[in-house]
Amino acid sequence: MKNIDITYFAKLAHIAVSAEELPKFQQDIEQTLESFGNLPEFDDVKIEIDTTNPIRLRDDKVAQTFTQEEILANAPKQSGGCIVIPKTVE
Amino acid sequence: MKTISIKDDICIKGELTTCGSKMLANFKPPYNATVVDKLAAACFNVIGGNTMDENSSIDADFALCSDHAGLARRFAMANSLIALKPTYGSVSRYGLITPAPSLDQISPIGKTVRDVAELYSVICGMDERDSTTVERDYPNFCENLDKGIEGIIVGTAFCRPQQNILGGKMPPLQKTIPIELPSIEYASTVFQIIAYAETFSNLARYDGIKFGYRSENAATLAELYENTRAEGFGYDTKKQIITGAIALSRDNRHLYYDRAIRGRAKLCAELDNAFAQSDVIITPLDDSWTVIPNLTGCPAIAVGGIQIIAPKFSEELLFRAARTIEIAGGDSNA
Repeated sequence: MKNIDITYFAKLAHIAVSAEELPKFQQDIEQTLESFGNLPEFDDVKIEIDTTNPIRLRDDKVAQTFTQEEILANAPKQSGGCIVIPKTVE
Repeated sequence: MKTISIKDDICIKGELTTCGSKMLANFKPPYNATVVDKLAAACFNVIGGNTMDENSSIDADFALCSDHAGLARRFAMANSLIALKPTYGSVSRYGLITPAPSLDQISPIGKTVRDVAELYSVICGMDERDSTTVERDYPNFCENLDKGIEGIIVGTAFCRPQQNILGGKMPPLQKTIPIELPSIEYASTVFQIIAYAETFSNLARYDGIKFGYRSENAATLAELYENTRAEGFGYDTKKQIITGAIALSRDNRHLYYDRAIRGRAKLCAELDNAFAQSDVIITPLDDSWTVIPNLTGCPAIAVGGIQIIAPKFSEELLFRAARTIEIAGGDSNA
Protein backbone atom coordinates (compact mmCIF):
# COMPACT_ATOMS: atom_id res chain seq x y z
CA MET A 1 0.00 0.00 0.00
CA LYS A 2 1.48 3.34 -1.03
CA ASN A 3 0.76 6.94 -0.06
CA ILE A 4 -1.20 6.07 3.02
CA ASP A 5 -2.10 9.18 5.01
CA ILE A 6 -0.06 8.61 8.17
CA THR A 7 -1.08 11.99 9.62
CA TYR A 8 -4.74 10.97 9.44
CA PHE A 9 -4.20 7.63 11.17
CA ALA A 10 -1.87 9.16 13.79
CA LYS A 11 -4.65 11.63 14.55
CA LEU A 12 -7.09 8.73 14.92
CA ALA A 13 -4.64 7.13 17.36
CA HIS A 14 -4.20 10.45 19.26
CA ILE A 15 -0.47 10.54 18.62
CA ALA A 16 1.20 13.80 17.57
CA VAL A 17 3.66 13.21 14.71
CA SER A 18 6.00 16.07 13.85
CA ALA A 19 7.01 17.03 10.32
CA GLU A 20 10.50 15.72 11.09
CA GLU A 21 9.22 12.32 12.25
CA LEU A 22 6.70 11.86 9.45
CA PRO A 23 9.01 10.56 6.68
CA LYS A 24 10.38 7.77 8.91
CA PHE A 25 6.90 6.71 10.06
CA GLN A 26 5.73 6.84 6.44
CA GLN A 27 8.57 4.66 5.19
CA ASP A 28 8.50 2.14 8.04
CA ILE A 29 4.74 1.69 8.11
CA GLU A 30 4.50 1.35 4.32
CA GLN A 31 7.23 -1.29 4.52
CA THR A 32 5.32 -3.15 7.24
CA LEU A 33 2.06 -3.01 5.26
CA GLU A 34 3.87 -4.27 2.19
CA SER A 35 5.10 -7.27 4.19
CA PHE A 36 1.47 -7.91 5.20
CA GLY A 37 0.51 -7.95 1.53
CA ASN A 38 1.38 -11.63 1.09
CA LEU A 39 -1.49 -12.72 3.31
CA PRO A 40 -4.13 -14.72 1.41
CA GLU A 41 -7.79 -13.93 1.87
CA PHE A 42 -8.44 -17.26 3.64
CA ASP A 43 -11.98 -16.92 2.27
CA ASP A 44 -12.61 -20.64 2.73
CA VAL A 45 -12.49 -20.13 6.50
CA LYS A 46 -15.64 -19.74 8.50
CA ILE A 47 -15.20 -18.05 11.86
CA GLU A 48 -17.02 -19.99 14.55
CA ILE A 49 -17.55 -19.17 18.18
CA ASP A 50 -15.68 -21.44 20.56
CA THR A 51 -18.41 -23.00 22.66
CA THR A 52 -16.12 -25.33 24.59
CA ASN A 53 -15.22 -22.78 27.25
CA PRO A 54 -18.05 -20.27 27.61
CA ILE A 55 -17.28 -17.20 29.68
CA ARG A 56 -18.73 -17.52 33.16
CA LEU A 57 -19.84 -14.11 34.32
CA ARG A 58 -19.53 -13.28 38.01
CA ASP A 59 -22.41 -11.91 40.03
CA ASP A 60 -22.78 -8.15 39.88
CA LYS A 61 -22.08 -7.22 43.48
CA VAL A 62 -21.31 -3.85 45.04
CA ALA A 63 -17.90 -3.90 46.70
CA GLN A 64 -15.14 -1.53 47.71
CA THR A 65 -12.17 -1.96 45.43
CA PHE A 66 -9.96 1.09 45.87
CA THR A 67 -10.13 4.21 47.98
CA GLN A 68 -10.19 7.66 46.40
CA GLU A 69 -6.66 8.25 47.72
CA GLU A 70 -5.37 5.06 46.12
CA ILE A 71 -6.85 5.95 42.75
CA LEU A 72 -5.65 9.55 42.83
CA ALA A 73 -2.14 8.55 43.91
CA ASN A 74 -1.18 7.82 40.28
CA ALA A 75 -2.92 10.84 38.72
CA PRO A 76 -0.34 13.13 37.12
CA LYS A 77 -2.18 16.27 38.29
CA GLN A 78 -4.80 16.59 41.00
CA SER A 79 -6.40 19.16 43.24
CA GLY A 80 -8.97 18.94 46.05
CA GLY A 81 -9.57 15.23 45.48
CA CYS A 82 -10.15 15.70 41.73
CA ILE A 83 -8.07 15.01 38.62
CA VAL A 84 -7.07 18.26 36.88
CA ILE A 85 -7.35 18.44 33.08
CA PRO A 86 -7.13 21.35 30.61
CA LYS A 87 -10.22 23.52 30.30
CA THR A 88 -12.76 21.86 27.98
CA VAL A 89 -15.72 24.29 28.20
CA GLU A 90 -15.46 28.00 27.29
CA MET B 1 11.70 -19.18 51.29
CA LYS B 2 11.81 -19.49 47.50
CA THR B 3 12.61 -16.33 45.58
CA ILE B 4 10.78 -15.40 42.40
CA SER B 5 11.62 -12.59 40.00
CA ILE B 6 8.67 -10.85 38.34
CA LYS B 7 8.81 -8.95 35.06
CA ASP B 8 7.96 -5.30 35.46
CA ASP B 9 4.70 -5.52 33.52
CA ILE B 10 3.06 -7.62 36.27
CA CYS B 11 1.54 -5.39 38.96
CA ILE B 12 2.83 -5.44 42.53
CA LYS B 13 0.92 -3.15 44.90
CA GLY B 14 2.87 -0.02 45.77
CA GLU B 15 5.96 -0.99 43.75
CA LEU B 16 7.08 0.71 40.57
CA THR B 17 5.70 -1.26 37.62
CA THR B 18 6.97 0.53 34.53
CA CYS B 19 6.90 -1.89 31.58
CA GLY B 20 10.26 -0.28 30.78
CA SER B 21 8.30 2.69 29.41
CA LYS B 22 8.44 6.43 30.06
CA MET B 23 4.63 6.26 29.95
CA LEU B 24 4.58 4.35 33.25
CA ALA B 25 7.85 5.58 34.75
CA ASN B 26 6.13 6.61 38.02
CA PHE B 27 3.31 4.06 38.09
CA LYS B 28 2.74 2.28 41.40
CA PRO B 29 -0.28 -0.04 41.07
CA PRO B 30 -2.91 0.14 43.82
CA TYR B 31 -3.36 -3.63 43.57
CA ASN B 32 -1.50 -6.91 43.12
CA ALA B 33 -1.82 -9.03 40.01
CA THR B 34 -3.70 -12.24 40.87
CA VAL B 35 -0.54 -14.28 40.30
CA VAL B 36 1.32 -12.12 42.84
CA ASP B 37 -1.39 -12.75 45.47
CA LYS B 38 -1.20 -16.49 44.75
CA LEU B 39 2.59 -16.51 45.08
CA ALA B 40 2.44 -14.61 48.37
CA ALA B 41 -0.13 -17.11 49.69
CA ALA B 42 2.25 -19.94 48.71
CA CYS B 43 5.10 -18.22 50.65
CA PHE B 44 7.21 -17.11 47.70
CA ASN B 45 9.51 -14.11 48.16
CA VAL B 46 8.46 -11.88 45.26
CA ILE B 47 10.95 -9.49 43.66
CA GLY B 48 9.57 -7.13 41.02
CA GLY B 49 11.05 -5.01 38.29
CA ASN B 50 12.94 -7.48 36.12
CA THR B 51 13.19 -6.47 32.45
CA MET B 52 13.67 -10.01 31.11
CA ASP B 53 14.70 -9.35 27.57
CA GLU B 54 16.76 -11.94 25.76
CA ASN B 55 20.02 -10.31 26.89
CA SER B 56 19.21 -10.26 30.60
CA SER B 57 19.30 -12.96 33.24
CA ILE B 58 17.62 -13.62 36.57
CA ASP B 59 19.08 -14.07 40.02
CA ALA B 60 16.24 -16.06 41.57
CA ASP B 61 14.90 -19.61 41.87
CA PHE B 62 11.88 -18.89 39.66
CA ALA B 63 10.52 -16.18 37.39
CA LEU B 64 7.27 -14.98 35.90
CA CYS B 65 7.43 -13.26 32.53
CA SER B 66 4.79 -12.06 30.10
CA ASP B 67 4.92 -14.13 26.92
CA HIS B 68 4.31 -11.86 23.95
CA ALA B 69 5.35 -13.55 20.70
CA GLY B 70 7.34 -16.14 22.61
CA LEU B 71 9.44 -13.71 24.63
CA ALA B 72 9.46 -15.90 27.76
CA ARG B 73 10.37 -19.01 25.79
CA ARG B 74 13.22 -17.25 23.98
CA PHE B 75 14.42 -15.74 27.27
CA ALA B 76 14.45 -19.24 28.75
CA MET B 77 16.32 -20.67 25.79
CA ALA B 78 18.97 -17.92 25.96
CA ASN B 79 19.49 -18.64 29.67
CA SER B 80 19.28 -22.47 29.59
CA LEU B 81 16.04 -22.33 31.55
CA ILE B 82 12.60 -23.90 31.06
CA ALA B 83 9.53 -21.75 30.24
CA LEU B 84 5.87 -22.65 29.89
CA LYS B 85 3.38 -20.70 27.80
CA PRO B 86 0.21 -21.86 29.57
CA THR B 87 -3.11 -22.67 27.96
CA TYR B 88 -5.01 -19.43 27.34
CA GLY B 89 -7.48 -19.07 30.19
CA SER B 90 -5.60 -21.22 32.71
CA VAL B 91 -3.65 -18.36 34.35
CA SER B 92 -5.29 -15.08 35.32
CA ARG B 93 -4.09 -12.03 33.42
CA TYR B 94 -5.54 -9.66 36.04
CA GLY B 95 -2.72 -7.21 36.77
CA LEU B 96 -0.72 -8.07 33.66
CA ILE B 97 -0.08 -4.92 31.63
CA THR B 98 -0.31 -6.26 28.13
CA PRO B 99 -0.56 -4.78 24.64
CA ALA B 100 -2.37 -7.76 23.06
CA PRO B 101 -4.80 -9.45 25.47
CA SER B 102 -5.88 -12.30 23.19
CA LEU B 103 -2.26 -13.35 22.58
CA ASP B 104 -0.32 -12.69 25.76
CA GLN B 105 -0.04 -14.91 28.82
CA ILE B 106 1.98 -15.00 32.04
CA SER B 107 4.70 -17.63 31.74
CA PRO B 108 6.32 -19.51 34.61
CA ILE B 109 10.09 -19.96 34.22
CA GLY B 110 12.43 -22.19 36.21
CA LYS B 111 15.69 -24.06 36.15
CA THR B 112 14.03 -27.48 35.82
CA VAL B 113 10.76 -28.87 34.49
CA ARG B 114 9.79 -29.65 38.09
CA ASP B 115 10.30 -25.98 39.04
CA VAL B 116 7.99 -24.88 36.24
CA ALA B 117 5.36 -27.52 37.08
CA GLU B 118 5.44 -26.43 40.73
CA LEU B 119 5.10 -22.76 39.82
CA TYR B 120 2.29 -23.42 37.33
CA SER B 121 0.44 -25.44 39.99
CA VAL B 122 0.52 -22.32 42.20
CA ILE B 123 -0.61 -19.71 39.65
CA CYS B 124 -3.19 -21.55 37.53
CA GLY B 125 -6.92 -21.45 38.13
CA MET B 126 -10.10 -19.54 37.51
CA ASP B 127 -10.20 -15.90 38.59
CA GLU B 128 -13.37 -13.81 38.81
CA ARG B 129 -11.33 -10.74 37.87
CA ASP B 130 -10.32 -12.24 34.51
CA SER B 131 -13.41 -13.46 32.67
CA THR B 132 -11.29 -15.37 30.15
CA THR B 133 -10.07 -17.79 32.83
CA VAL B 134 -11.65 -21.22 32.76
CA GLU B 135 -13.18 -23.05 35.70
CA ARG B 136 -11.96 -26.66 35.83
CA ASP B 137 -10.02 -29.03 38.03
CA TYR B 138 -6.33 -28.23 37.85
CA PRO B 139 -4.27 -31.12 39.27
CA ASN B 140 -0.93 -30.89 41.06
CA PHE B 141 1.32 -30.93 38.02
CA CYS B 142 4.35 -32.29 39.90
CA GLU B 143 2.77 -35.63 40.74
CA ASN B 144 3.07 -37.44 37.40
CA LEU B 145 6.22 -35.82 36.07
CA ASP B 146 8.28 -38.99 35.93
CA LYS B 147 5.64 -41.22 34.36
CA GLY B 148 7.29 -40.87 30.97
CA ILE B 149 5.55 -40.73 27.61
CA GLU B 150 5.17 -44.39 26.77
CA GLY B 151 2.50 -44.85 24.13
CA ILE B 152 2.46 -41.16 23.28
CA ILE B 153 2.56 -40.23 19.61
CA VAL B 154 4.97 -37.36 19.02
CA GLY B 155 4.49 -35.17 15.99
CA THR B 156 7.63 -33.51 14.77
CA ALA B 157 7.75 -30.30 12.77
CA PHE B 158 11.48 -30.52 12.18
CA CYS B 159 12.62 -30.92 8.61
CA ARG B 160 15.85 -32.62 9.57
CA PRO B 161 16.11 -36.14 10.95
CA GLN B 162 15.00 -36.49 14.53
CA GLN B 163 18.29 -37.88 15.79
CA ASN B 164 20.03 -34.57 15.04
CA ILE B 165 17.72 -32.59 17.31
CA LEU B 166 19.10 -31.67 20.73
CA GLY B 167 22.63 -32.51 19.63
CA GLY B 168 21.76 -36.17 19.35
CA LYS B 169 20.30 -36.25 22.86
CA MET B 170 16.74 -36.78 21.69
CA PRO B 171 15.17 -39.47 23.85
CA PRO B 172 14.01 -42.70 22.25
CA LEU B 173 10.44 -42.03 21.22
CA GLN B 174 8.12 -44.91 20.56
CA LYS B 175 6.33 -43.33 17.70
CA THR B 176 6.94 -40.12 15.81
CA ILE B 177 5.17 -38.77 12.79
CA PRO B 178 5.99 -35.74 10.65
CA ILE B 179 3.64 -32.81 11.15
CA GLU B 180 3.03 -29.87 8.85
CA LEU B 181 0.83 -26.83 9.21
CA PRO B 182 0.14 -25.82 5.59
CA SER B 183 -0.35 -22.16 6.60
CA ILE B 184 2.67 -21.89 8.94
CA GLU B 185 4.39 -19.44 6.55
CA TYR B 186 1.67 -16.88 7.35
CA ALA B 187 1.79 -17.27 11.14
CA SER B 188 4.13 -14.34 11.85
CA THR B 189 2.13 -11.95 9.66
CA VAL B 190 -1.18 -13.07 11.17
CA PHE B 191 0.31 -12.58 14.62
CA GLN B 192 1.68 -9.11 13.86
CA ILE B 193 -1.57 -7.78 12.41
CA ILE B 194 -3.65 -9.01 15.35
CA ALA B 195 -1.04 -7.80 17.86
CA TYR B 196 -0.89 -4.31 16.31
CA ALA B 197 -4.68 -4.05 16.10
CA GLU B 198 -5.04 -5.02 19.76
CA THR B 199 -2.19 -2.67 20.71
CA PHE B 200 -4.01 0.23 19.01
CA SER B 201 -7.16 -0.56 20.98
CA ASN B 202 -5.66 -1.61 24.29
CA LEU B 203 -3.16 1.21 24.71
CA ALA B 204 -5.87 3.85 24.19
CA ARG B 205 -6.09 4.07 27.98
CA TYR B 206 -2.73 5.83 28.15
CA ASP B 207 -4.02 9.37 27.78
CA GLY B 208 -2.23 11.24 30.59
CA ILE B 209 -5.38 11.73 32.66
CA LYS B 210 -5.74 9.16 35.44
CA PHE B 211 -2.28 7.64 35.64
CA GLY B 212 1.05 7.52 33.88
CA TYR B 213 3.01 10.19 32.05
CA ARG B 214 1.41 13.53 31.16
CA SER B 215 2.83 16.05 28.70
CA GLU B 216 3.41 19.55 30.06
CA ASN B 217 3.01 20.87 26.54
CA ALA B 218 -0.77 21.01 26.04
CA ALA B 219 -3.36 23.78 26.10
CA THR B 220 -6.39 21.66 25.12
CA LEU B 221 -7.60 18.17 26.00
CA ALA B 222 -6.89 16.94 22.46
CA GLU B 223 -3.33 18.28 22.65
CA LEU B 224 -2.92 16.66 26.03
CA TYR B 225 -3.80 13.23 24.59
CA GLU B 226 -1.70 13.62 21.46
CA ASN B 227 1.41 15.07 23.09
CA THR B 228 1.27 12.73 26.08
CA ARG B 229 1.20 9.71 23.77
CA ALA B 230 3.81 11.19 21.41
CA GLU B 231 6.23 11.83 24.28
CA GLY B 232 5.37 8.86 26.51
CA PHE B 233 5.48 5.99 23.98
CA GLY B 234 8.65 4.87 22.22
CA TYR B 235 8.94 4.88 18.42
CA ASP B 236 8.19 1.19 17.92
CA THR B 237 5.07 1.32 20.08
CA LYS B 238 3.79 4.37 18.20
CA LYS B 239 4.49 2.67 14.88
CA GLN B 240 2.56 -0.40 16.02
CA ILE B 241 -0.38 1.67 17.25
CA ILE B 242 -0.64 3.65 13.99
CA THR B 243 -0.29 0.45 11.93
CA GLY B 244 -3.03 -1.10 14.07
CA ALA B 245 -5.28 1.88 13.36
CA ILE B 246 -4.74 1.32 9.64
CA ALA B 247 -5.33 -2.44 9.90
CA LEU B 248 -8.67 -1.85 11.65
CA SER B 249 -9.87 1.09 9.56
CA ARG B 250 -13.03 0.84 7.48
CA ASP B 251 -11.25 1.00 4.12
CA ASN B 252 -8.40 -1.35 5.03
CA ARG B 253 -9.60 -3.96 7.48
CA HIS B 254 -10.65 -6.37 4.72
CA LEU B 255 -7.00 -6.36 3.59
CA TYR B 256 -5.46 -6.84 7.02
CA TYR B 257 -7.46 -7.50 10.19
CA ASP B 258 -10.25 -9.59 8.66
CA ARG B 259 -7.73 -11.74 6.81
CA ALA B 260 -5.61 -12.14 9.94
CA ILE B 261 -8.61 -13.28 11.98
CA ARG B 262 -9.48 -15.87 9.33
CA GLY B 263 -5.80 -16.87 9.11
CA ARG B 264 -5.77 -17.41 12.86
CA ALA B 265 -8.84 -19.64 12.61
CA LYS B 266 -7.17 -21.58 9.79
CA LEU B 267 -4.01 -22.13 11.84
CA CYS B 268 -6.15 -23.27 14.80
CA ALA B 269 -7.94 -25.80 12.55
CA GLU B 270 -4.65 -27.03 11.12
CA LEU B 271 -3.20 -27.50 14.59
CA ASP B 272 -6.37 -29.34 15.69
CA ASN B 273 -5.87 -31.61 12.71
CA ALA B 274 -2.25 -32.22 13.73
CA PHE B 275 -3.43 -33.14 17.22
CA ALA B 276 -5.86 -35.63 15.71
CA GLN B 277 -2.74 -37.54 14.60
CA SER B 278 -0.37 -36.88 17.51
CA ASP B 279 -0.49 -36.19 21.26
CA VAL B 280 2.26 -33.57 21.40
CA ILE B 281 4.29 -31.79 18.72
CA ILE B 282 7.96 -30.85 18.91
CA THR B 283 8.98 -27.80 16.91
CA PRO B 284 11.85 -25.38 16.43
CA LEU B 285 11.74 -22.17 18.48
CA ASP B 286 11.76 -20.02 15.35
CA ASP B 287 9.54 -16.99 14.72
CA SER B 288 6.74 -18.90 13.00
CA TRP B 289 6.42 -21.79 15.43
CA THR B 290 6.90 -19.60 18.51
CA VAL B 291 3.75 -17.58 17.79
CA ILE B 292 1.56 -20.64 17.12
CA PRO B 293 0.79 -21.28 20.84
CA ASN B 294 -0.08 -17.58 21.30
CA LEU B 295 -2.38 -17.60 18.26
CA THR B 296 -4.10 -20.89 19.09
CA GLY B 297 -4.21 -20.68 22.89
CA CYS B 298 -2.45 -24.04 23.21
CA PRO B 299 0.23 -24.60 25.86
CA ALA B 300 3.90 -24.87 24.90
CA ILE B 301 7.11 -25.43 26.77
CA ALA B 302 10.65 -24.44 25.83
CA VAL B 303 13.12 -27.09 26.92
CA GLY B 304 16.57 -28.00 25.64
CA GLY B 305 16.36 -25.49 22.80
CA ILE B 306 13.16 -26.85 21.30
CA GLN B 307 9.45 -26.25 21.82
CA ILE B 308 6.79 -28.82 22.67
CA ILE B 309 3.15 -27.93 21.99
CA ALA B 310 0.15 -29.82 23.37
CA PRO B 311 -3.64 -29.47 23.07
CA LYS B 312 -5.35 -26.97 25.38
CA PHE B 313 -5.26 -27.88 29.07
CA SER B 314 -2.80 -30.73 28.46
CA GLU B 315 -0.06 -29.25 30.63
CA GLU B 316 0.31 -32.51 32.57
CA LEU B 317 1.28 -34.37 29.39
CA LEU B 318 3.44 -31.43 28.30
CA PHE B 319 5.44 -31.55 31.54
CA ARG B 320 5.93 -35.32 31.20
CA ALA B 321 7.24 -34.90 27.64
CA ALA B 322 9.52 -32.04 28.72
CA ARG B 323 10.79 -34.09 31.64
CA THR B 324 11.61 -36.95 29.26
CA ILE B 325 13.71 -34.59 27.14
CA GLU B 326 15.31 -33.08 30.24
CA ILE B 327 16.43 -36.55 31.38
CA ALA B 328 17.73 -37.40 27.91
CA GLY B 329 19.76 -34.18 28.05
CA GLY B 330 21.52 -35.45 31.15
CA ASP B 331 19.58 -33.70 33.91
CA SER B 332 18.18 -36.84 35.52
CA ASN B 333 18.35 -35.49 39.08
CA ALA B 334 16.41 -32.30 38.44
